[in-house]
Amino acid sequence: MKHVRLKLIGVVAVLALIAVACSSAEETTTTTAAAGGGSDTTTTVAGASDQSDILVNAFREDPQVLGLDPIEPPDYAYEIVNVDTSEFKIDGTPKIAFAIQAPEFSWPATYNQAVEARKAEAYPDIELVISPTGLGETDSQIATIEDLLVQQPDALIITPLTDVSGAVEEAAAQGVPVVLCTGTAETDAYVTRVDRDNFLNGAIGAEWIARSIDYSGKIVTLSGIAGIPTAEDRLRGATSVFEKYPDIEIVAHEYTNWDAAAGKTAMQTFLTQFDQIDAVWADGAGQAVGAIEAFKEAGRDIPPFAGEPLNGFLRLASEEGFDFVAVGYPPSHSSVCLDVAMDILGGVTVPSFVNVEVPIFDKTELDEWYRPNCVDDLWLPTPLTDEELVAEGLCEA
Amino acid sequence: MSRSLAQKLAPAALPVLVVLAALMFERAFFNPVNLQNVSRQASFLLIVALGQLIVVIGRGLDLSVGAVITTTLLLLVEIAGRPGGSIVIALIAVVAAGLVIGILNGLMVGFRKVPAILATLAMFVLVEGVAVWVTEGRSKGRVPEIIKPLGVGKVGPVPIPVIIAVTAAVLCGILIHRSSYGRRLFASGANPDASHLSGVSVRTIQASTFVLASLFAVLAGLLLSGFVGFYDRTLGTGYDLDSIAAVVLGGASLAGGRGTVWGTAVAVLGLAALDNLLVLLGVDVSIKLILKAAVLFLAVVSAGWVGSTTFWTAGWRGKRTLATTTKGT
Repeated sequence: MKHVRLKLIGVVAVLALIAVACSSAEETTTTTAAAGGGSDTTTTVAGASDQSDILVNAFREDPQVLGLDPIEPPDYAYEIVNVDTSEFKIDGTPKIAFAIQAPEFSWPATYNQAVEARKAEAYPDIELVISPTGLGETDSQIATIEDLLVQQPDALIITPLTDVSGAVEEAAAQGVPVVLCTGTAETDAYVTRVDRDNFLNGAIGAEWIARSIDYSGKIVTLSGIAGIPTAEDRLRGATSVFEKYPDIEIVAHEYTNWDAAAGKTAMQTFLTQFDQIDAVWADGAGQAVGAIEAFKEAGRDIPPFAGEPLNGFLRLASEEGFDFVAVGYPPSHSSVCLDVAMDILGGVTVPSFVNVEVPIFDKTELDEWYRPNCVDDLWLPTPLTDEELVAEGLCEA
Repeated sequence: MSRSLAQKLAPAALPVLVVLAALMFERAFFNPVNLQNVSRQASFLLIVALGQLIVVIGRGLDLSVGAVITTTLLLLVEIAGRPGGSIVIALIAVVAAGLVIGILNGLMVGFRKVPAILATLAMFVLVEGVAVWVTEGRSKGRVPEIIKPLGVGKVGPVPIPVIIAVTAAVLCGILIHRSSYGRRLFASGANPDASHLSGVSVRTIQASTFVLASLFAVLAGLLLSGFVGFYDRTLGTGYDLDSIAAVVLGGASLAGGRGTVWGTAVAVLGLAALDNLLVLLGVDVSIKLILKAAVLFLAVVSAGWVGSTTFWTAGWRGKRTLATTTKGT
């Protein structure tokens, strides 16, 4: 596709295999259902040097799929290292614990489903213990992790809902390797982190917004939850871009908890306050759809929007015809976390950070992404097949 | 100024302060469209707060109203928002769900003597759990178009939610201030033992307050669903505590037996206006939270002063006397 870049797990794996086949000796070895079992060997993610390249290249190349200039990679993009995991290599059937986010809404629901699907597909024999924690119950997540550790897993995957440094260090002290999956922690006790670089996501949306208003105008920015790294990193990325253009003025910013209602309420207020709003940068689709509804209700033209590939957001774009960019954060990347955990239990050297590739597209690709026969609450790309989507009532046949 | 009049006017302190602040710092607040928005935002909270008021007068507290709001949206989307879905069945379902939740709360608190805060918290968790179980985290429909005018429609310049909220407030006022039910409600809340001895079915009265609160939350859920127009699983989040804050700011006592529709309505208006003004001013989120907490704290403390018998018998006799009498209360 001309303007779309979608590298999912398979592509990453293929790249890794190519890298292995060509030269690298440092990130070979195994990953199978029985980690370290000595059967057929494949790696699931590229090693540190390749990951550094992937992340640095993501800063340079991802904007280009929209025809934007490259973004200067931050220092941390060059600081990915290889982690020797030979001490965690086990024989026999692994037991992996996953402290996951409760499926309270569609994003974590898909996220969790992707893990289960990956297990069934690639590792049917492993023991996977999943324990969910609800959003907003961040303290109880630490208790959840401690409960999981009592069960003596061979590896622990955590989706941090807050800073769970203490629990990560507790696991490390017990010799349990930890994979942080979608999120971070203020400790270096974990083995690796699998995530999309949110600074980059924020920056790409902002660069697109800047260009769409010809680098001059008044914009509104809408963030998710104050203090949550995902939201703050995206905002930092966006701000770093907008600061480059002196003729762009951020007239208002508001945290919206990624809620449609909060997004609409905030935008209604801004619409009464500002006669001119040239574009809206939203770090999530939830508040974006609410903000778009506010423009519709006020009878104002909908300006360019930065959002995410949620089917409801795309439906509005299709119905209203406004210009947009969608920078993805697909929940299906949780499956990569399981792959990496299996790598670790196979003793495979893994990179300290695995950057997940995401779909990035604009209005020109709308028809390829929008699913008019599906519900609003569908994140794209979805790990479900068409048959599964119909069976689950998410799409019409 | 009589004590009674001062008590009635005390809840107006917050909206008055907000208006003064807006005059000084942000004139856009007075934009007619913005005032429409504020009134609409206030109307959602007012409807929930009316139900909460009835519960609080009856010496209770309902933390499940937010979950009822989200459940209302969920049922609308799942039943009426799919192809071939029926809005009539959806409306019956949301009312039935509200009744069931209210009755269960009422039975637990009124008849099983479970502390209201625990019973309704448990109900909140139960409803959230059932919602996740039923939907598996995903909504499978859309907000039905027929509902949207309830949230975004207008009659002339007046938003429909405002008309509905005012009507609900008037009806609620008649119910609790002008009916025998209201007299028994206040009596039960103020002194349940004495009320019981005088023949009032305190348990039934208290149970009924939770049913009414739940039904008010259903109404708010319908309006909010129309307003948002999308499935938003956190739609009701915050309405539980905000409604309690509004009721207390409006002069109600958490010890039961005291509270007015007027006070609650004015307090709701003040809270909605404060939220709006802080957004207009672009106040940083941390400062915003601190400011809101400070305003709430000051308002509650000053409400306590205004309601204090000692304060009024002491009268305005200078700072020293006031400080002494306040300390003694």
